[in-house]
Amino acid sequence: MLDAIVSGFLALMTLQALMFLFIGVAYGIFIGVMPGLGGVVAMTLLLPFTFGYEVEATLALLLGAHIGTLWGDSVTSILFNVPGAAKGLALVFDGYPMTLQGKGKRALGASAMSVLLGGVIGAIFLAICIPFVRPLILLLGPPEYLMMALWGMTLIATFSGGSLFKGLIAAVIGVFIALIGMDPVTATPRYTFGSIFLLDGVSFPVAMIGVFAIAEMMKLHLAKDTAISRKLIVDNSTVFEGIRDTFQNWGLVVRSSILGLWIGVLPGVGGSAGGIAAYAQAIQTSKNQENFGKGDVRGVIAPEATLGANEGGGLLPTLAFGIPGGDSMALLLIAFMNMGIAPGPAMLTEHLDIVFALVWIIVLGCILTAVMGMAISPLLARMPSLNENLLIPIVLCVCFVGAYATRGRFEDIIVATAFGAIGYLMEKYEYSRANLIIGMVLATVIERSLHVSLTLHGPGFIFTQPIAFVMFSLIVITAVLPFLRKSRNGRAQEILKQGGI
Amino acid sequence: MSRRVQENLISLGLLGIFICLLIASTQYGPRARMVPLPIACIGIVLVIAQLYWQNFRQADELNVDLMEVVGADRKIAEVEEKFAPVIVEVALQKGQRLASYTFRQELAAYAMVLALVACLLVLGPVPAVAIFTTGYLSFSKQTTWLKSALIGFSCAAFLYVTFGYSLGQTLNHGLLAPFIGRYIVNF
Repeated sequence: MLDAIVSGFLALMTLQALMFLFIGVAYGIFIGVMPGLGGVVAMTLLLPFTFGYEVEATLALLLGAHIGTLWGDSVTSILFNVPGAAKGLALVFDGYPMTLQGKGKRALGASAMSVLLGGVIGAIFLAICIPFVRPLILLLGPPEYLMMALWGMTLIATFSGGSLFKGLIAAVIGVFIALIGMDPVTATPRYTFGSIFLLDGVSFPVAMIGVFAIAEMMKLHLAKDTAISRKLIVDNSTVFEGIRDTFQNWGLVVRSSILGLWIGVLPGVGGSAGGIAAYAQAIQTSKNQENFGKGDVRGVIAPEATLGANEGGGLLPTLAFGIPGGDSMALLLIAFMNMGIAPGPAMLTEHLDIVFALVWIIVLGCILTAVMGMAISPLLARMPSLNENLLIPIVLCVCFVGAYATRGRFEDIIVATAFGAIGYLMEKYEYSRANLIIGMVLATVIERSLHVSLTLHGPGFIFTQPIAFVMFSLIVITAVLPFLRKSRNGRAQEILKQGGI
Repeated sequence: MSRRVQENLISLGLLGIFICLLIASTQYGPRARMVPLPIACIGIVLVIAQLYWQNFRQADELNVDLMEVVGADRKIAEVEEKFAPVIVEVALQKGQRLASYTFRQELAAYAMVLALVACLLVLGPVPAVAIFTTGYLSFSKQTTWLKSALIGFSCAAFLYVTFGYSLGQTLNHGLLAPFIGRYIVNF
């Protein structure tokens, strides 16, 4: 274990890895500052650039970009009253009032330091959990992995908001997309319709570029928003005041970070729910609650610490079980697959050094984000407007050239275009894109585990393997939970009606 | 076309796709169809259930708030109630407008994307990026012609250096490249 910790750190101490981390964080902050583009778009655009480099350098680029967007998203919430992403909503409650009071730099400083401390706590949690999770992983076999993959998809469809059926349909579509091409077991071409191009299957990075980046650019183009702007207010605060505030409220940072770990481990929770939960927790556990909503710096510290710790928490199920808790973790899994690394038992046994490299990337990435954020906060506090529409043609061009560059084939540009339309329609009609990519990522696990389970244990493996049976029961309970809840609420309302209430 | 009709058409389209996938799956060997066949059946059942729910039980929500399960929903509800005007304003700014765009507007967005694809096919990536970026920024009046051209050509140069030089990718020269090359040689 100690060897893995040290070799993980040393693997990052190469010029390429450090440079990629720096580029990733800077790029992530830039993308995060632009409203309408989030961590997922930032990571998607980087996927074509991740071929042919060292594993640690590639992960530093991707995860660094994601961590950079955590703070970048806060900037528009705090300065412009426009959340850069759903998770930045809670920052508007106190961050923007602080800007109106001439304390914008203080808010940005507190935000940057909170992300740093929360991220470090999340990384420590991940490192501590690994020795406990490893023995559990070794108990699991193909039947358990199959059930876990199915349970992961069901959990996310149930809890991630929107219709349960639409979530599951999106996951099923994702599974079918992954099945296009040669069946690895029997070498049968599936759903290729005679096309030689489709024999290699649909490239996951190209599909992601379409579903997330191209679809988001179409949405931005349709919105035709004017540049967001604000009246500049004289800012007499400093970044260091924000840093001091964070350390003065260290108890709040720790509590919020623990909440962030919990939210990160749970699938399907994220977005604005996590930030608001952190804010609610801050109000409940703090003195002088009446100051919240009027420019209280604690209203900035709590959500940011939660978001920072979320990274470490979210990586645990992703690395240990190969079950992504959300779209950004699913994109990380796609990157792993591109590099030939399979999350799960192999990750925690043969590639433990890569796991600890990820832990170090979170720590270094958060430090770099905080340092860069604090350095540019005085400049950002003087920015009168942001025009994300300038990025639309640039991002589209990067998308298509990147899609072409993955395999050097023009057909991939057509695929990216088709997935762009699919991604837009999914957003419009509220089918979960996160479930789509989770279905794509887990399809390989499902097929491989099913074949091996049937070979080793026969068709009744669900009932002969106790852990698999328990997980199967959990799948059924999770799928039935919405109907049970609806029925319980209906009965409660009937009782109230009978009571004349 | 009302929202419900659109949703029904989407669901019916998905049903048709899953049925086609089911039929295609039956033509594969037993091991090759071991996963696709049951998944297609599950997809068909889910779409039928979705069609039923969205037409006859649309008032019933089937999603579960995980915060409610862990007991944190009341605290979150208090915060959401306190900041309701802010949350409503933000929701109106983003995400709730997709349903309000007309078919013509959406067609224009698709056309923009297809225009770029056509440029890439005909001219090749580097010229297409320069021309499309310049044209988009100028015609949408985001910046002046000169700034648009500067951004466009900078973007093209960046992509050429990154993909063509650093990553060593051979960038497709486009359908017109042989004709332009021949013209230059003759000239």
